[in-house]
Amino acid sequence: MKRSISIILLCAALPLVGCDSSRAPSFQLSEQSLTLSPFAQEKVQGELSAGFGSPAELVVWPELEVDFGNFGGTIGKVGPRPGTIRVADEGLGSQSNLAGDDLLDTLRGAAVVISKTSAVPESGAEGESTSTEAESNTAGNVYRVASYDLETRLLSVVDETGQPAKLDASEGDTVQVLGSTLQTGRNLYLRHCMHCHGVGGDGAGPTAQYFRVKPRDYRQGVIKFTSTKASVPRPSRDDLFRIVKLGVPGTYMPSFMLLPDDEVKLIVEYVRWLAMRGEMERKLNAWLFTSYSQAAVDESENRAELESEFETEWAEDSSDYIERFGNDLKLDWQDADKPESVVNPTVPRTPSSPESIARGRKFFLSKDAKCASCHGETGRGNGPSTEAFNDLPGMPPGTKSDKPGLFDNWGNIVKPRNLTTGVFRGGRRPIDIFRRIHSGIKGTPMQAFGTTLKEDQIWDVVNYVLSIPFEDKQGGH
Amino acid sequence: MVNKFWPIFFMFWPILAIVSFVIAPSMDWWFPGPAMSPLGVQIDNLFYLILVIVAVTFVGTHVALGFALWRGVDNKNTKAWFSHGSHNLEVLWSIAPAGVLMFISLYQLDVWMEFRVKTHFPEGTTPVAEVTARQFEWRIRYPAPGKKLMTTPQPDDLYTVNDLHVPFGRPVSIRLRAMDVQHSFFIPELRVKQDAVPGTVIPVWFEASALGEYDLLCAELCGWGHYKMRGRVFAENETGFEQYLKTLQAEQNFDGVTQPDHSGAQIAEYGIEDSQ
Amino acid sequence: MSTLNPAADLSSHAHDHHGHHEIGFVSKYVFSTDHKMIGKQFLFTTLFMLLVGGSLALGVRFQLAWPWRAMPVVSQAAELIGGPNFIAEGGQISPEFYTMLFTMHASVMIFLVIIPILAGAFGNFLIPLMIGADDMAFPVLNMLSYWFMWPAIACFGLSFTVGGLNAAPAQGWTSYPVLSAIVDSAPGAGDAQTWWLMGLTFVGVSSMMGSVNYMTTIINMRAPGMTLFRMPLTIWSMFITAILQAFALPVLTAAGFMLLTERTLGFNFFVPGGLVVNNGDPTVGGGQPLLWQHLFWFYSHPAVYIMLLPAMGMVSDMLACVVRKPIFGYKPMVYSMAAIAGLGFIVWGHHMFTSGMNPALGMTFMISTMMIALPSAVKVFNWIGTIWGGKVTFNTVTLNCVAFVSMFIVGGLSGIFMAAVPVDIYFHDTYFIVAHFHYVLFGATLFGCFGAIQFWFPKMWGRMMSERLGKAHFFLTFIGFNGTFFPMHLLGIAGFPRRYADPYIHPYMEHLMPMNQFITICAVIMGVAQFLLIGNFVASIFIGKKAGRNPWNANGLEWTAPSPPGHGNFDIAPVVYRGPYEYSSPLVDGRDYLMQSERLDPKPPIKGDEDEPASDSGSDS
Repeated sequence: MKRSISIILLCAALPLVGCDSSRAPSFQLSEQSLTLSPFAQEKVQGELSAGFGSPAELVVWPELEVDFGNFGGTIGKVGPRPGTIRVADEGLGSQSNLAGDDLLDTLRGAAVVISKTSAVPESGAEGESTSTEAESNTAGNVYRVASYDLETRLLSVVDETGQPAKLDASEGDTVQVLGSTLQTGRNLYLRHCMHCHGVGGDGAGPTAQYFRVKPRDYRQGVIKFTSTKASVPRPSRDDLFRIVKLGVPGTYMPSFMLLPDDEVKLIVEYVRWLAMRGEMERKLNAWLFTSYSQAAVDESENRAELESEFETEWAEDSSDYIERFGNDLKLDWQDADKPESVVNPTVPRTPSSPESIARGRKFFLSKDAKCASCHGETGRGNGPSTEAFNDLPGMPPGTKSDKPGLFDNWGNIVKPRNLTTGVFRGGRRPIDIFRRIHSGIKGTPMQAFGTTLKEDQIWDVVNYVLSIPFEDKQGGH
Repeated sequence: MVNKFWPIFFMFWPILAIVSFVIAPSMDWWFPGPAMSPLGVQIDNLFYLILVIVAVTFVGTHVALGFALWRGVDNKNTKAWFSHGSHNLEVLWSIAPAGVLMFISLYQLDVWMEFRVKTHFPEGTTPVAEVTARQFEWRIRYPAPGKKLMTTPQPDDLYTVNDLHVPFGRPVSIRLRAMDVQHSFFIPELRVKQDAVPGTVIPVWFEASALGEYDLLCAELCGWGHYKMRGRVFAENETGFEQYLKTLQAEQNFDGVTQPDHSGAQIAEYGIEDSQ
Repeated sequence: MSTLNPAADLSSHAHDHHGHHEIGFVSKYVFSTDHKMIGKQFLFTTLFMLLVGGSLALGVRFQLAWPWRAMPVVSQAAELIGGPNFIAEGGQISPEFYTMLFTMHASVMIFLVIIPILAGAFGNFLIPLMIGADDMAFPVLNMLSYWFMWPAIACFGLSFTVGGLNAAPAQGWTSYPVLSAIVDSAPGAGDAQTWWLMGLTFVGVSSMMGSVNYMTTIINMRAPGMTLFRMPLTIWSMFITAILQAFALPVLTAAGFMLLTERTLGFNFFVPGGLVVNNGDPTVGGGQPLLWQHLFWFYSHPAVYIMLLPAMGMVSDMLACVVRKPIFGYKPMVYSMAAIAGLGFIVWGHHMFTSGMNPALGMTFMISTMMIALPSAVKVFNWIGTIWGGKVTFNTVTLNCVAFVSMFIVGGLSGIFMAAVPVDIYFHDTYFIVAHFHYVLFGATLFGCFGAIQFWFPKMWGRMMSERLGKAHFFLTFIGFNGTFFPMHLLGIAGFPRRYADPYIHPYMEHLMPMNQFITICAVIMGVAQFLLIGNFVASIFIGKKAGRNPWNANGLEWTAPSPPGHGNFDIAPVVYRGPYEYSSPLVDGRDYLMQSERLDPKPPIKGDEDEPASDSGSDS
C-alpha cells in the first residue's frame, strides 16, 4: 500500500510540471526580420532589446515621443541592506494621484536610474539621454524596482539577474523610476488587447486568425481612421483615444467606453510605443536587407567575408543610423499631435438640402472622382475595382496584384465601404466623413481628396453619403 | 467518542453552510445592492421567502439525519428496527411539501406576468431605445429628442454604444435585438434579464427607482468576448435625459466647426474632445 | 414477470450454445460479450475520462482565481496538439481557450463520465446479477454499446486537434445556435464543433443500445419469484433510466443531425435571415434559434435524471445494507422514481425561462418544475427514515451514501429558487445554477458512484478495496467539494455570471476574487484527492484483501454468486422468495440479514396461537 501511495502522489505531482510562473510575454522578431541573415538578425534583436526591452522589462528611451512617466525622489539614505534606498520625506509617487496598491503596481519592475545631479531630469527632454547618464552612474547596468514600502519609503532595487543591485549612490542623489506609466499601460494592454493585437502589436494574437477583418498591425505606424492630414502619416493621440473608446463599428474592435479615461490614455501610450518599436524594426530591416538578407548570404561566395563586412559597417554606421531613425520616429509622432496636423474644416457644414445632396451625388458619380468605381453606383461597395486586378499599395505604380480586388498596406483584401448600411468604421459624424474624404483612409486605396476638392464640395459629398437610405431595415448599427 | 466523529462531521457542514449565509451580507458576498427597481424588490422578496422555506427544510432534514446517524452509531442491538415504512408518514410528507410548493407557485405567478406579458406591462411604459446586442458590445439607437422611437431607423435617430440612458422613476422599455448570435440583457441591480434572440425583437421593460449607474452585462455565451460586453445603464431625471439626447444629437452632427453644447451631459466625461 | 420455468433451468451456462471451448484473449477481454467485463470496461474508461474532465475544470478554476497568469500545462499540451501555444504571450491563455475549457469540461463529464458510469458501468455489471439472469438479453449489442464509446471519445479528441486547442469546441456543452451553427461566429465553431456533434451522436447510439438491452433484460429475464416489486431499487432505477433514455435520446440525435446539416449542408433550421457574423455575408436564414433549445432541453432535462436515478437506486440498496434495515417506504420510492421520470419529460422549459419563449410557457413549466420537487423530497425523507433506527457502521460506503443524501438535499433545495420564475430571471446564467447542478451531479451522483465502487468492487474482483484509503479519499473529497461549490451559491447571489473569462473587469465583482481563489484551492485539493481513489482502485485489483461471496452480509441476488462471478454468473439459477431489504428480519435468529433467494422452511404454527404465521414477503408496504 505504501508503494501505491507514493505512486499516487507522483501522479498527483504531474500537473505541477506545467507550473512555471516565471514565464513572461516576449517580443518576437517580425517575418521581415527573419529574412535577414542570422548575424544581422542578432544585431537587430540586440538593438530592439536595448531600445525597447521586452514586455516584462521595458526600457525607457527618452528620445521617443512617449509619455513614459516617471516618479522621482531624493535619496535619504542608502542601505542598510544591499540594494535598498530610503527615499526622503515625500516618498516616491507623491506627485501623482496614485496611492496604495495602484502605485505599487505601477512601480514594480520599472527601471531605476540614479543621478548625481540635484534636479530631476524630465523624461524625454530634448537632447538629454538619461540612459547615458544611467550608464555613467550605475555602470551600465539596468536596475529595476523589486519592491517599495509605502510607509517606510524603502525602495528595493535589483539588477538584471534579480540580485540586490550594487548601487553607486549617496544621500542627496536623485532616484528616478522610469517607465512607470508605460508599465501600467502595458498591464492594461496585456489584459484587454494582446489576445487580438499580439504581444508586439502585430495584429496576430491568438484570436486574430479567426477574424475576417484583421486587427490592426501597428508596426507600420499607420492607423486607418485618423483626423490628421493626408501628409501626416501618423495618428494623433486623440485619434487612438477615440478608437479605443468608441471601438470600430462593424468590426470586432469593441468599444471600451467604460474604461476610465486615464486608463485608455495609458493604453494609447503603450500602443504608440509598440508602433514605434515596430517601425524601428522595419527601418533597420530596410537598411540591412539589400546587402545582408539571407538570400544575399546564400548567393554570396564568401560568407565569412560578407559577415565581416557587415560587422565593419555596423560598427561604423549603426549609431548614426539608429540616431537618425530615432529622430525620425520622434518627429513623425510629434507631428501628428500638432493642432495644425488635424483636418479641421474652416467652413461649417453646408445644410443638407436637396441641392447639396444632388451636387454631392454628381461628384460621387463623376469620372474624375471615381468614387463609384470602388463604392459602386448605388454605394453598395461593389464597384468594378472590387473585381479588377489593381495596383498593389506601397509598390511602384503599375505593379498589379495577382488576385482581383482591392488590398490594403497590410496585404489584406479590403472591401470599399457599403454606404447603405449606415455603419461607418471611423465614425458617423459629419466631421468624420469629411476627414475620410479629405485625407483618405491611410493604408488603403481610399484616396485623399483634400487637395483636389474645396471644403464646401467635400461637404456636399458628405451630405450625399449621409443621405443614402439604409437598404437593410435594421441598418444604422 | 471516536464513534461520533462522523455524525459530528456531517453536522458540521450544514452549520458552516448556515453560518456562511448569515454572514454573507456583511461580507459583501450578497446581492450587488438592494434591488433598484419595483419589480426587483418583488423578486428579492420572493427570494427571501423561498430562502426561509428552504432554510427550514434544510435545518429540519439535517437535524433528522444527524439524529438518525447519532443514534444509529450507538445502536448496539443485534438487529435494527425492522420497519418497512409508515403509510401515514408517507401521506404527511407528501401533502405538506406539495402544499408548500403549490403556495410558492401561485404566489409568484403575477410577478412573472408583470415582467413578461406585454398586456401586463405597467401603464405608461414608453420605449426609449432600441438595444441591439452584437459581438461584443451593445449598440443603442435612440429617437431624436422629442420624437418617438420607430421600429425602423429614422434619419435623425441617435446612435451610441454601451451606454444606455433612461429616465428614472418611471417604467421604460427597450426593443431588444441581436445582430449576430444570442446575447442576454442583464442588469443585476435592477434584477432584469432577457435573452436577445437573433431574428426577434423583444420588448423589455424596467423601472429604475433611483438615479444612478447600473452595470449592464451579457448573460448568454456569445463567443470569446462574452465577458467583455460591459455596458452601463444610466438612470437620470427627465431634464438630464433630455439634455443627454440633445448633446448626443449635437455630437452626432458635429462638423468640426460649430461647437456642441456640453452642459450637463454625460458624454463630456468620456473625454471625446470637441476639437477633433 | 418472470418467464423462466424454474424446473427447466437448473444450471446456468453448462448447456449454452457454444459449449466449453476457451475463448481467446480478444474475445474475453477486448470484445467481450460478458456483461461483467463490459461493465468493468466502462468503469475503467469513465474513471479515466473523469480525470480528463477534472483537469479541464482545473483550468477554468485557475483562470478565475488568477486571471491571465501563465496557465500550467497548456503550452506543453499545445505543443503536442497544435494551434497557438501561448508561449509568446507568456502562457497567458486567450479568451476563446477559456470558452473551450468549460465547454469540454461539461461535455466530457456529462457524456463520457456520468452517463456511461451509471448506465454503462454499474447498469451493465449489476442488472443481470441482481435479477438472477446469466447475462443481458442482447450480449453482442451490449458489447457494441461499449465499443461505440470509443468513436465518441475519438471524435471529441479530434475536436481538440483540428485547429488546435484554441479552436476546440467552445460554444458551451449546450451548443446553442446561432453561435454553434455559423462556422465563423467563434474560433471553436469551425470543424471542431462538427466533430463534437459526431461524438455526441456516437454517445447517443451507445446509450440507445444500452437502454434497449436493459429494458428487455429487466422485463424478460428476472429469476423466478422476482416480481417487479421484489426488485432492488437499483434495478428499478436502471429500468426507469433506460425508458428515459429510449424516449428522450432520439430527440437529441435529431437535433444534432439538424445542426450538423445546417453547418455542413447549408440547411437552415436554426439560423434566421439577415444576420451578419464576423463580417460575413448576411445569412439566408429561415430558421429559429429557439427550436434548438426546445429540442436540446427536451433530451437534456431527462438526461439529468438519467444522471441521477441510478445513483439514487444504488444508494438505497447500499444504505439499507449498511444500516441493516429495510428501505423505508419501498413502494413510495419506486413511485417517486417513476414520477420523477415522468414529470422529467414536461419540465424542460425551466432552462429557457429567459430565452424569449412565450411567457405562458413559463408558467406551465414553472408548475411542473415545482411538482417534480415533490417526489425528490419524498425520497429524501424515506432515506432518512431508512437510517432512522438503524445500526450505523461508518465505513466508506456509509460515508459516501450519507454524503449523497446530504448533498442531494442541498442541490434539490437550491433548485427551488430557479423553479420560481421571477427568481430565475436573476439567477439564470449565474454561478447559482453552477452550484445547484454540481451539488446534484457531483455531490449526489458522484458520491453515490464512489460508494458503489467501494461496495460492488468485491463482487467485481473478489477483493476488498482499502478502507483507510477510501475514508481518506472521502474526507478530502467531501471537504474539497463543499469548499469548492458551496461558495458558488453566494457568488450567484452576488450576480457572478457563468462562462466569463475575466469577470473582474466589472467593478462590482472585483471583490469576489479572494472567494474564487479559495474555491480554486479547494478544487485542487479535491482533484488531487481523486488520485487516492484511482490508486486504491487499481492497487486493490491486485493486492486487495480477498473477499468472499458476501462480504457485506447483504441481501441481493448478486451476493449469492461467487466473487467474481464466472461465466453464467450463478452456480445454480436463483429462485426469489422475498424482497431485497429483509435486514434485521425477525424470521431468522442470530443474523441481521435474510437473502432474497434463501429458502426458509415455514415455522410450524404453535398450538393455540391466534397470530397468523409470519409472512415471508414483507416487502410490500
